[in-house]
Amino acid sequence: SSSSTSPAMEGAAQQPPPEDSSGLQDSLPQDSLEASAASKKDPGQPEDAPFENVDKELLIACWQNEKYAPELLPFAKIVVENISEVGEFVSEDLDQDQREGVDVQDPYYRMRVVDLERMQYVLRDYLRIRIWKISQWPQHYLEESHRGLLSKAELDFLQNFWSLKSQFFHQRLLEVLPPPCQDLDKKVDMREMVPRPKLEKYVYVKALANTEVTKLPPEFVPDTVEDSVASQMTLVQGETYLLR
Amino acid sequence: KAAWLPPAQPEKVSTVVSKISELYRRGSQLQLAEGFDGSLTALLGPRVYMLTLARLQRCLLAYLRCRMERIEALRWDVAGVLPEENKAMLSPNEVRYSERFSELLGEFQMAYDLELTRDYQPPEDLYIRVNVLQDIGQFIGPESGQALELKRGDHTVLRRGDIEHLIRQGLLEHSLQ
Repeated sequence: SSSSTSPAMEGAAQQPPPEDSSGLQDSLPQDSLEASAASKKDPGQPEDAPFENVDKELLIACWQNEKYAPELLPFAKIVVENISEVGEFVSEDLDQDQREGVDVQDPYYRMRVVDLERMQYVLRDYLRIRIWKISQWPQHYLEESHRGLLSKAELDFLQNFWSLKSQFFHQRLLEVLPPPCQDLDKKVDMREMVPRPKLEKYVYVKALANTEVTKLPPEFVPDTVEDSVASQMTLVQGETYLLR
Repeated sequence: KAAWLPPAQPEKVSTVVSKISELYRRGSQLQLAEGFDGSLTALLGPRVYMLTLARLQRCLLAYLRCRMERIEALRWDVAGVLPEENKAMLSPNEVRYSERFSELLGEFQMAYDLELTRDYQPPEDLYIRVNVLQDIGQFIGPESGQALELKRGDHTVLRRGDIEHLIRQGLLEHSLQ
């Protein structure tokens, strides 16, 4: 396939992602990080003009990217933290309203609660998809090159989960087998025991900016195009493509 | 729930394990036998044994892994203590595995202060209409903090967050009037 990392990532990032203080990389372009830092100063307080929470769009974008990418994308730490903070604030606000005696059937109150719950749904689903991916392929994501994609909580979970699982296998089975059979990560006849995520799946990608994609293998280009031209392709901004 | 997992069958697992040991022994013996010269043709015999035994090992691992995946899926579904009827199908090791897995999931959820087993669909409204299928009695709704009482045959409108786990356990039914 033309890119070994998820093509959705290449389309979505405009610049190399900056590193935050904990060393984990955030998967979003610089501009939106600044916007979300600005929105941190004003967590949902009503103003004269309706306040638009930038993080909401970012979270939904992260969630969609994660959902359709066949492998794990870097953890969007800042977005998740912001959304959690806003969520807490809003939920305290709503609780206080309830204590002060607002009518629970009031449509405006109900709308605010449902809005909060819908945002929480997106966050929950985002975390769920990631947990599912790392549980499917624990050995793959524990490898050094892939650990940076996980958040700290995910890494803790995965390490404990994998040690639990491999302990289980060892106790139940591998201890009683002869020595050559006791490994969980051997290669037999070129086929690995460690399952890896399937990177061959097709993904719909929307280009956010004009991107050059080089090193396209010639076999994926239609026969009418000459070989010399076949090595490059430009993804035009705003267009949608189907890639692997 | 009836077709969840067949009971653990450790005897069958042991049979396969002893077969594997047997194959290994025979393969090693071949290598120690008279006239074994390490040539490619001589290696074919032990190789067949080794490949069979590798395959058996993979089959066993796949069997165990399948059981474990079902256990994990159940934990995601039920979001609480395993029902007794399911527990009866598991071997003691598996029971310990399910408890520990449950703990790990709980720890992860605490890190983000969110229950991940709720809301598999985007919520549309705060309240839903339900039919009560079995007696539940009194309890405090986890979402709203109100005291609720539910008896079999009730049709009420309740807050979704309070009763979603009951719907998944099959005690309530979402009614679409």
